[in-house]
Amino acid sequence: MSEPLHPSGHPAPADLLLHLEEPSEPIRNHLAGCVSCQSLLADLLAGESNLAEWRDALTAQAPPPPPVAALQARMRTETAPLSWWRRNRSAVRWTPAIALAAAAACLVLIFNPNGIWNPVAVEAAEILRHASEQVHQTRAAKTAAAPRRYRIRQAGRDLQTLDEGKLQLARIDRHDPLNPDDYARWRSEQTEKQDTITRGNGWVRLSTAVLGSHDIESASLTVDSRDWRPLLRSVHFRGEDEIQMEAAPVEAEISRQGAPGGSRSEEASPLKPPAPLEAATPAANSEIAMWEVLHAAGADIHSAAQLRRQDGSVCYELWSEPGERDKVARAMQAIPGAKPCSQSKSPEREKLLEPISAGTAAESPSLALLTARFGDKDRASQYLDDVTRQYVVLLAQVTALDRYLRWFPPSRVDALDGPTRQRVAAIALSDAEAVTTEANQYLRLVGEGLAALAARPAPASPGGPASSAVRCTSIESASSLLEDLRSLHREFVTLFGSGSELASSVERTARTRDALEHRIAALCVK
Amino acid sequence: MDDSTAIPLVLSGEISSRVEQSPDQFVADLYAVHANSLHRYLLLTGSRPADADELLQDAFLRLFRCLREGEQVEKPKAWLIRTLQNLRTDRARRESGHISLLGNVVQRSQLAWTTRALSPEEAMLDHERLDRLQRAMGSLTERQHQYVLMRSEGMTLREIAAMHGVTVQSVAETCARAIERLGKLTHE
Repeated sequence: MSEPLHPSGHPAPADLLLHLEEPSEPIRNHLAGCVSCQSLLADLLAGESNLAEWRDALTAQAPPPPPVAALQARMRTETAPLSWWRRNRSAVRWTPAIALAAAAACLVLIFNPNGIWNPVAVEAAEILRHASEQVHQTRAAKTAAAPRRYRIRQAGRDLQTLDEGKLQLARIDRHDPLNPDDYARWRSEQTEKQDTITRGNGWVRLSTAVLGSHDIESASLTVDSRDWRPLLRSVHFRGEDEIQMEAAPVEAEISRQGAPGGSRSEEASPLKPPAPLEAATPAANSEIAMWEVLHAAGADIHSAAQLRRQDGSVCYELWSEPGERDKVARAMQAIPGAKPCSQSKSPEREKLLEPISAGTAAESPSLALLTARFGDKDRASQYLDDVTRQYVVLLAQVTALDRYLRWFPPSRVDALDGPTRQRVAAIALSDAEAVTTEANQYLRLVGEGLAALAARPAPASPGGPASSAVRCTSIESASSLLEDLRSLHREFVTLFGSGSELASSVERTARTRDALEHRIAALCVK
Repeated sequence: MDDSTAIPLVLSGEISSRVEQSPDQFVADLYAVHANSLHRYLLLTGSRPADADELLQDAFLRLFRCLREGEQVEKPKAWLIRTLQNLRTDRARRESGHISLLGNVVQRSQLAWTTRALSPEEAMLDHERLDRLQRAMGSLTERQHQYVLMRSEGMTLREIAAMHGVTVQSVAETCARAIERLGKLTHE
């Protein structure tokens, strides 16, 4: 360790960290009487604790490592008696005849379909790699494309249950049966196997036959040949009919592509049975009615009012303007069971108006360019105010949408009957349309600023409102939108406020703007 | 089970005799203790699940071979992490001619959040906090990222230093800077 106490009289953070593992007497003595170092140490410990929490949250749904039995099998192979060749290789003389025979054997081994160089195996690995990347990209993009419902069939009939032991044996996750990584794991566990690749109209199927006598005879994974999306997985247990699992996220997608085994049946998946319909319950009706009141008054956006759960029941928040509050309260009286929350919790107020500091901005080269663009400094300042104001409006809209979608997650909406679902969707659609309109305005304003810095031409007029297909708006997409929006505003504030390195800041802002634009365009297009 | 203290890291005389008598059982025991942690480490540093499975088994198999050949492995977990890194680097070189663990957070880890059972508002705040931490992790240098993850898997500063051939002071400084940076970015 370096000197325990620096010339400042305090230990460095690194020394404090080291002290936790290898206690040092001078540091211990110092800590006993130094509040600031105690606080620094507490911060370091809290940081490590946060890190552990982050790690646990991120890996909670990660697949477990392979069972120890797989390792033990490999260790047994290692300790198996040596082959004839290894035992006798020193005795074998390397004669030309043996060399020729060995060369011929190598050629057979290399070009035989089951030999060392097996193009089918290479292609199989490639298919699995593409499929895995596709799934990971879909999840990383947090789009709603990941299928949520699955159908399992055997001999043309829907299976109601599937034995847990069989699922484990075939490496099938009942919540994600088409996962290509799971298939890859199962396949890699088969020591003797033969792959076959079949191509159809729009699909590719990898079939893996297990050689020898095992519980599973064969399995297959069918993927979309255009984007590698997994479509169908099958497993064939010895002495039974083949079991097929397919996703049914988009109507008749599989059948249209002609994947064999596809079914148009709309029955629910036995893996994930639908929840009982909820619409009949008075509580659900009341919740929707309460949201409708908040939305009609604009309280969900302008006051960020929402429903909350308090003491086991649902209540509505009221912390808007007095006139509006009375209007909402009167409307709520007509709803059975509606009651205001006893304590309206104010959400974490973020820094909506990030200061684009005049003092700093005056020295900012970007502001000078902006002033040149607008003709004078007042107009440039007015422009910055407009951007900030539009950001606040948009942030309120996106937050309202995000809160609402969290209240009615897809799993819950799916359990509602048609008319009730339409009522839920109506508010989401209205919010999404407002988000699109405001976002286009915000993007246009930001684009003007970038144009002033000659980063790109001024943007075209804003696009139209969101499409009516609100089903594609998910919690994830609204959350991502929120993050992208905050990122863009941070970049914008940095660009015009801090006087940071101009070129890179312009580039970052332009890139973040494009990301938000892309996200807005994708909000409801499917 | 993932208790790093269940098996001492330094092979005592008693453990050495266990290794001599039954190396496969010793390695299987080590696997039971460390597999979860090491598997998680691989996933968090960007390996895909199927690759993580293979690398994990390969590393333990390599340990088994070393023990059978009479090599002394003083700190199995540290040894395993180093071996995993080497195996992964070799594989990446074979596959694409280069390796870069640096990249954005999504490349480093393709896992998704799972939030505890909370109310919608709490879940949102929790999610946002972890998301900020995720982004902050993405802003660390490769070395900082590696060191703090190793520490979160229970390795001491001295073990990390020995593994990377640097001084313990250098590791402590890197970790302290990383933790301070994470704290700053998380609370921004």
